[in-house]
Amino acid sequence: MADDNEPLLPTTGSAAAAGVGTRRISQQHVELNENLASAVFSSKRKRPGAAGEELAGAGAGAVGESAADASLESSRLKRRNGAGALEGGGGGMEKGTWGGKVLAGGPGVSSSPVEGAQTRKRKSLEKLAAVAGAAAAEDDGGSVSPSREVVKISTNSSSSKKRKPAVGDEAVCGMKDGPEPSDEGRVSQGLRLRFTRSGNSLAAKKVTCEEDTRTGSAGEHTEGPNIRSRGSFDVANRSGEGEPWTMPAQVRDQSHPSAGDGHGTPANASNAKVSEKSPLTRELYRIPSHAGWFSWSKIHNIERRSLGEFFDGKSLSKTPKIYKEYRDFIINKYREKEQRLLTFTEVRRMLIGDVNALRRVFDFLDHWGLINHQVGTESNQEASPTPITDDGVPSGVRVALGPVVSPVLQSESSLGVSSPLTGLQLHALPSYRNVFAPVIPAGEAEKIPLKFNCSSCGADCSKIRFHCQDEIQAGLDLCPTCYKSGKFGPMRVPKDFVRINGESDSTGDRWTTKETLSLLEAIGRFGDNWNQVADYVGTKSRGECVKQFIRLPFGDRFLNDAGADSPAFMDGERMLVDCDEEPRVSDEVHETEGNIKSNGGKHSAVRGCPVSGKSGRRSTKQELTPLQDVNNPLLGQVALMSAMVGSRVAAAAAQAAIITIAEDDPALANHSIMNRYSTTGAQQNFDSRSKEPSRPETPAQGVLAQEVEREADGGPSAVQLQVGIATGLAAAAVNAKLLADQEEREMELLMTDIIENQMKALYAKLEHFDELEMLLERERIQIEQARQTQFLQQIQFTESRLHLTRHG
Amino acid sequence: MTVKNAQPSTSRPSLVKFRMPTAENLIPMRLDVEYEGRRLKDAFTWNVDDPDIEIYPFVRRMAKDLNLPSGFTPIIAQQMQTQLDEFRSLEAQEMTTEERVQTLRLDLRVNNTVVHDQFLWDVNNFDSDPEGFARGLCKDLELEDPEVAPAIALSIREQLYEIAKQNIASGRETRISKKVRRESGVDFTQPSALGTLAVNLMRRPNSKISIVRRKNEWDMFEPNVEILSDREVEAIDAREERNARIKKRQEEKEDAYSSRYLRV
Repeated sequence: MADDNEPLLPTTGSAAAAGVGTRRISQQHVELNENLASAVFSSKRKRPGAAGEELAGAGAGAVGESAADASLESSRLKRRNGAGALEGGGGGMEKGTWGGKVLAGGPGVSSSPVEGAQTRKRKSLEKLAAVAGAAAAEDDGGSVSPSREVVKISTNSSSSKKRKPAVGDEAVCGMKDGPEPSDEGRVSQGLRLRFTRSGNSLAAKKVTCEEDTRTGSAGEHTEGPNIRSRGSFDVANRSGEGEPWTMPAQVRDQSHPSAGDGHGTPANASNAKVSEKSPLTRELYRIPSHAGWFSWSKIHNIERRSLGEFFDGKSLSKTPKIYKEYRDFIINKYREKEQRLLTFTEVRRMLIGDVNALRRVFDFLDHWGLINHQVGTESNQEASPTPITDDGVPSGVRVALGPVVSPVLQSESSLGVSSPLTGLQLHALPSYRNVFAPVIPAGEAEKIPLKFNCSSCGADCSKIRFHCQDEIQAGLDLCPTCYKSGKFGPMRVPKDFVRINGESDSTGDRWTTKETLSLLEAIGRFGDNWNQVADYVGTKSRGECVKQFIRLPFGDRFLNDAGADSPAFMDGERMLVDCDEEPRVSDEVHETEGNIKSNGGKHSAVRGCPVSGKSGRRSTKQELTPLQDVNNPLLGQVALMSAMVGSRVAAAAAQAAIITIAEDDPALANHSIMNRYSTTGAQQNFDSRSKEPSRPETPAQGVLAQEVEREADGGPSAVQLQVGIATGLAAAAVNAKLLADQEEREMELLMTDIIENQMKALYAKLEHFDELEMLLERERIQIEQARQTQFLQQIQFTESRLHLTRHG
Repeated sequence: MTVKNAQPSTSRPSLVKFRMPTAENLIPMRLDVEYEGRRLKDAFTWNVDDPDIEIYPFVRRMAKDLNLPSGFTPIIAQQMQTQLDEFRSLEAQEMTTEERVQTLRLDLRVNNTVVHDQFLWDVNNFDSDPEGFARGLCKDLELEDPEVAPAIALSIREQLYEIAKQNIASGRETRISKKVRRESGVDFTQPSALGTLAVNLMRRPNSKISIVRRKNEWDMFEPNVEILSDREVEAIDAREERNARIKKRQEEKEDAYSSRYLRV
């Protein structure tokens, strides 16, 4: 926006604020985007709007104390406990306490970050990155120790998860995709930013920011970070030129304007604080996911089964009612102080009843994590930044740590910045979405994301898990690996499991169709003037509008023809996201789809899935799990699809498609194929299956378009290829669907046969019975007759006897 | 006819062969043997259901492990046999499975650890698990001495055994008295005393049922553990020794009396 023209520093400041916003406490996998680092800086400031100045100072390579502070602290970012607080561990820092408070509160700030991120131009983001990096550099410079700080930001969420507290010392800095490190040779003392771009995803996968510091004269840091970015980055340039930047004051002056511009920052930060607190103080009892069956008001079958003595009615003092009272009492007792391990010995003195029965109840609750499940984690966190050590929790159980989530300096960060770079066009990139996903509106923070652990191997499988719906094992979750290797446990078959991507309700800012439409309308009218857009929409804030717009599974395309062929399109989108291991986001998208889509039926078909479609998809997904790590969502997608149909079928179809496409202009090919697919899709009017065909196109288009845009070469052929594959897969999918239908018809026929035969058998039986009845009747009549004759004879006999006696 | 129908199930609980009212049929055994100035005190549980385990091999093994003089073996074996015989004789009788909650008390010292505790135990519940309970208790109280848990479990078992024995006796009585009562036409529906059912314990004056104990009773039902210093332990040991000697002397005296009395 307006800031772009302003001195860069202010911009940076607000971008930093954005970073704060993007943090989200409830995100299950530890997430911290690159912005975080800058956020850290800014948050540390006590003065509103001053963030920029400090950053600027740091970026400039100023040796000013403040800069040194910032950098030092940033370098000591540590992973903190569930509150998601990041804490500056650096001893001796004057302002070492910025830690958890400011940083922790992602949600509230959401709006500004998003907006900031979106509206910033590449330039500013680059600056941000540079600044952050510089700050880190300063760290070393300030302390004059020739050390090396490595800032790693990895997109791969899994890797981030594995991150150990040990990594805490890394400074995280936000990196822009854009900046191209130049003058590397000169970067002796500066900051070198290296960006790797992997595959089609524009996100820099790993941003390594190395800084080599020379032993310089104490206190004076003559050379700042040596970063040259496309824009005019004063600070960086200056430092790159080796100009001693010893005038922090100057920097400050420059950055002051940021106070006005970045006014959102402080307010948001405080919001964040509030929203951070709310989840902690509210009355909400967290239980592990596997104990999801638990209900205060009811007694579940699991309880009945496990504690049969209370339900067999044999004892007067062991009744369901008393059981429930025991249960509730024990849980409440635990709730009084969740961090402390509640022991049976403690409980039993307060309860009347057979200690054995009580102990069984207690053990049962303990086993399911209904009590004591938070003990391990929280107490540990106090001791060290390391979270999660099991204590008293059965293995394989993981806690539903709500706010606890992952403060880790994390990944996705690079993506976060990169996406704003390219603006809305990036929509197709899950990584892009990722950045904003963590932002939860304050109210939303109430919902706790669950952390799921594989019941078999204990690994975290929050992202993709296979959930057993069986009643007995309500909480059985398996990670893809275990699912694949068939560790279902006794009495279970793969069919019992349903694939679940993350938790579905972690974001609650529901957009109604109406709101979405008015949003689109507003965007059409006001462009990217989000304030006005927000006003127009009315019910949502600026940030939410931006967020929603970004999330919409379409970009400019939607603007062109408002969701004409959305179902197929969106489905593709969804799948894409699925693959990308960004479950929560995917669900959001999903929801949005649901809202936007006029054609709700199809949507549900996708979810509910016909038998054939679902099982097929599930199994293949599981097969492909390893591929899901592939950074390129498109590849993952293709692999997934080709696994679904036979490889030969897919190959053949693709072959055909490529030939066709080759004849056309590449650009045209895109469109024509797209259209063709939407028509075929309609014609087949199936469920999910039919939509799959068009799936890969979307990402392909989005991604590749950018690719073309940026690199201006290599695009077309890639596009052709992808579209070709898509075509092939489409054909295969259709084929599969047809087969399934045929099968179904056959089954129906057979079923009818069976029923008919059954009926015949019944009729035969009835006839038989009738016959029997007749026979019986006949027999009865005969007997009756015989009886009568006998009676007559008897009478005659008596008569004759009487006769005789009379005569005799 | 009608009488017969009314009688079963409700008033008369099902009867089973006598056994330890716990999940595992382990009886407590206590040894206290003195031979040639050496004294052996020990306590353990004995699985009466296991046909493979016999007294003599066990005792021989024990003597070997503890390096006991051979004179010990027959005495130990005899003590064990006595206790086992007692159980076998009881086994011929029947016991009820009706819920009967009683307060068990722990009052024991193991090495340096003194445990006082009190809790309710359903003495007729065959699912109970004294060992598990004892383990849990030690874990909760963070008692590190590995001998404490078994000692607690044994103490519980001894009490249960004692109570079970009494119940046989009292059960016989009530059955008899019921017969008498029936004959005399008087009917007491629920002769069992208050407090044998947990529900009755839960009853509050205001006729409500509360599973939560009155606060002022919490202390009573809370374990109380004391860790003694070595010197204290020594003192206690000495005192116990003395008491034991006095007691023994008294017993001998009584024995003498009774034998004389009997002889007369």
